[in-house]
Amino acid sequence: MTTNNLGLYIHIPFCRQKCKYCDFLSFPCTSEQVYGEYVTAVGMEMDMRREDCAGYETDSVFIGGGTPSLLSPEDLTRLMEKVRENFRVTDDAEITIEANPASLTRDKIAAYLAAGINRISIGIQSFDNQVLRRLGRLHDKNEAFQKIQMARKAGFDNISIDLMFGIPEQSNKTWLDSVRQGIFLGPQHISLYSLELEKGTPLYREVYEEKKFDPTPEIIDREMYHDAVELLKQAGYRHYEISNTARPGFESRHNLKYWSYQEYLGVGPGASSFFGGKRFRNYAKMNAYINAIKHRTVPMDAATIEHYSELEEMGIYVFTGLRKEEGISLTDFRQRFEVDLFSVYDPAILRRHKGMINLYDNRLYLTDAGRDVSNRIMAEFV
Amino acid sequence: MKDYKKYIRNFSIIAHIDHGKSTLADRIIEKTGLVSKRDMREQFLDNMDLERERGITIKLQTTRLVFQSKDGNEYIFNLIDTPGHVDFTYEVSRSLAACEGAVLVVDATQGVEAQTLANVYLAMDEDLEIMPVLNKIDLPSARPDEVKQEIEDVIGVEAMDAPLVSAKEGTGIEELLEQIVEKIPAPQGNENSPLKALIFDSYYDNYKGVVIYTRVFDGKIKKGDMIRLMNTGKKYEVTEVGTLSPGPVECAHLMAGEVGYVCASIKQVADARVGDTITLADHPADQPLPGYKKVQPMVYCGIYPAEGEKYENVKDALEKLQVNDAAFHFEPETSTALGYGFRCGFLGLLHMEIIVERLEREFDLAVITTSPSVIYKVVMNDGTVKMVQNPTNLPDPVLIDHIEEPMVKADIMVPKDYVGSIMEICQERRGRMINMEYITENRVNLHYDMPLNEVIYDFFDALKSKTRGYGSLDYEFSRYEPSKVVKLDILLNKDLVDAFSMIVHESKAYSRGRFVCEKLKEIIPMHQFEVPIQASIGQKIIARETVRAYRKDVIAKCYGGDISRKKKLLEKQKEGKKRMRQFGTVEVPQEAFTAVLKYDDNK
Repeated sequence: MTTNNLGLYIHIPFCRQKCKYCDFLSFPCTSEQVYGEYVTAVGMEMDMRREDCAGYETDSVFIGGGTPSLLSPEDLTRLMEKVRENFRVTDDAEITIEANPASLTRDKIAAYLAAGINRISIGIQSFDNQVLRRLGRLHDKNEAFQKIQMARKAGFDNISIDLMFGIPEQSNKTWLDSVRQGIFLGPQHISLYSLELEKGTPLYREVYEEKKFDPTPEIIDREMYHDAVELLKQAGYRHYEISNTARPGFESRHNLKYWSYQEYLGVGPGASSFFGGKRFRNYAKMNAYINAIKHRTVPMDAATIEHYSELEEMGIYVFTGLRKEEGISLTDFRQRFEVDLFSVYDPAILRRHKGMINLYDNRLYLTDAGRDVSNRIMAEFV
Repeated sequence: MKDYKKYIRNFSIIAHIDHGKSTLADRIIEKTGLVSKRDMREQFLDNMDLERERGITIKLQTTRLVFQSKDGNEYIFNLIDTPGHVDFTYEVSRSLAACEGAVLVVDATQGVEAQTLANVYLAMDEDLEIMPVLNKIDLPSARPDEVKQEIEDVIGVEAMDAPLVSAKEGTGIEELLEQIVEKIPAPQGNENSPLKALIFDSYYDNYKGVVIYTRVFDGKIKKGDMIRLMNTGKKYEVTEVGTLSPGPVECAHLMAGEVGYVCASIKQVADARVGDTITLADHPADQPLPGYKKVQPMVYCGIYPAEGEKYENVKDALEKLQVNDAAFHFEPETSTALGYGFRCGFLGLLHMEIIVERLEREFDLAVITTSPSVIYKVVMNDGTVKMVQNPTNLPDPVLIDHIEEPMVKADIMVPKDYVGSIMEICQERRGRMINMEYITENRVNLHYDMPLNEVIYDFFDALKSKTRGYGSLDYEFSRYEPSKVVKLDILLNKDLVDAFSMIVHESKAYSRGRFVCEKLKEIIPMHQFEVPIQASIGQKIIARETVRAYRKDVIAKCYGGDISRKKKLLEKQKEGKKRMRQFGTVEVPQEAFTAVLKYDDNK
């Protein structure tokens, strides 16, 4: 029996408080007891998945959130034990934890390293205190500096930071200052996220209803993006995916799985999976999730499994692949689907989006200009 | 046999839309026992889905009923249904010509309305006996005595003993049927004279060819007869005659006074025109029946296959519709913006809406319709006259001496409180008031002289909106009149989009230009570049708006591997794009074409 590789995603759906722009699945909660109970529940979910994953080697684990750094060293250790108990984690696996500078401590960092976590992704967002306040972050610039240094000194040699742009009334200058400071600190991986103002978030209300701030014009947003990418490239980072840059060899394996048509299993409420050829999502409501676990059943509704046709899967392959700098290989496409890409899709797409999407050396990829309007191009393939 | 005519009653039901004509017809059919209640669909005579849904009758249906009267005799009722809308006046007049009487249905809560009047006048023109009946008597707001008085005052027919019915609840129907026997005259005519039969409707049947609905006035028609249609001069051999129950029931012959159908292997409805007279080829009548006229379309628009729709499919559908609708015309045309399509002619705006809706619903086609236009009479410098119904074909202004536009006589009936707002919307549309009369203390009939061009644009919507639905309109063509009209063009990203071109009065050009530009700005999505929208008359730009460019359409985050969510987002985007039409470099949603025609209350 051949073994497949698997990415494991563990969702930690708690935050001390929600940031003003966030519409991800997380609940404000400060109770250590609840965290502990939750770790037990997610451990039970992994127990249930053990058999399904017997034929897989897990070469990436990603503990994301929410705020995974809220977990105590003990809970985190327990969680990682459960991972190793149920999944065949390879020796060279990439094991990432997301951390918020505000809750990251020396003890926790030590516990991460002891549990075999070898990559830490720190949610910095900005090195500008005014911007951090506007976003409702719990940390300031100094704390961000400190925690990055702390992680490095403790022994992390694969550190990622998130930076955010297009924040209301953030200027291109203050943004690029944050990028420069990020580069100066020398993390192996820097993610760049353009802020999306989502309906229902406090920041959305402040901008569009209370009109406290002006939204960033699209044209400025794009300037910020391209200028930042330029700085990062000069500093030796590879722009390997729309929102991610890394020093060569430090591209996130887990992140790439999403864009490379590889399998991943998500545990925890709301977690998504592409597993055994199926795409599904766990219950997003905490009650429903916990209830299912209590009854020793998989915390998802089988009726919500997406059954995509071969053609739809091809579309997913293409639009996810196009997020990567390297794009997609026509040879891989043919090997996987046993048909030529351009016998499925109209070659006129290339003409319609001239200068946005290129075909070179048997690879189909987006240009810098194409990345700005990637949705329009990707929509051609769904 | 000698007295057979004594036991026939040929009549129509006339009413304003919504006054309950079709429901009443249903009840009559039910009472005379033609169809059992169990088998009855609501509104038996309206057999197109569209008619049922809109509650209006477009196409006539005719039914033969048997009524057992209290006087001990059995009567044959030929109930000839008429369409209820202003666009179909001619069809109404021909079906009325097939009758001796008309049952006038008046809503006991609403009273007499413009179309009621229009139809009554048509019936009077045909010398019909008019028998009023009050409907919706079950409603608490019914005011039968007042309405009876109104009928007598306004229409001048005896109404005091009009039957009070509720078609909905089925009350008063018996009384109504007895009054039909009593009041509506039996047909005259001589079955031994040369054949004279009126065509009052027809439809196309795949097996029989055109099925003619006819009223025989004199003589007799049977299978095997060679007939001649007196106005078109064409000859055919009769293959079948019968009565309508309402489905066809073959019979030996139709005689003077009777109503039924005739088949004669006729290929197209247009060959058996409503109003024409059937006679026998070898023993013809000397004069045709009066009143024949070839109906002419008054409103034109372009119909084009929408993105992804096949030209051939649209063509097939239009052909099928035309076979059944002599008033509908079409011919191929091309537009630089929309490609290959058709210029179509209609009796009026409703007729146009119905055809378009049938294309979409019955034939499941996606079509784009361009701005409707009337026919302009263009008098050239050299004295020649051109009839122009497509704005694109308007000759170069320097070659034109003057242009004339069609005028109509419009009757608008409203409760008196709305007179002010009606005068306003008529004035805005270049209407000239001829006079105004009080029908009752509260209701007014306004007579206007108006350009048809203004009526077809948004007048009806405006009228309904300003009078909260209480206003009613009737109009008829009066004449051509010289007018200062100009061609208004729309340019998207500097390219003229001919499908948006329209002919408007000089005084309206600026406001229309601005309106269209504003509407298009709302509708046209952002592009990767700025899209200027301009309105122009010749070289002169009279209005401009700009759709700004988008710079960004990208999702930064990855939703923790939730690919399905992203897929749905992209699908939505793609769905939106499908409904777009590419003009040069600009993508325009299909609804743009109808949106620029819509009445805007806030304007």
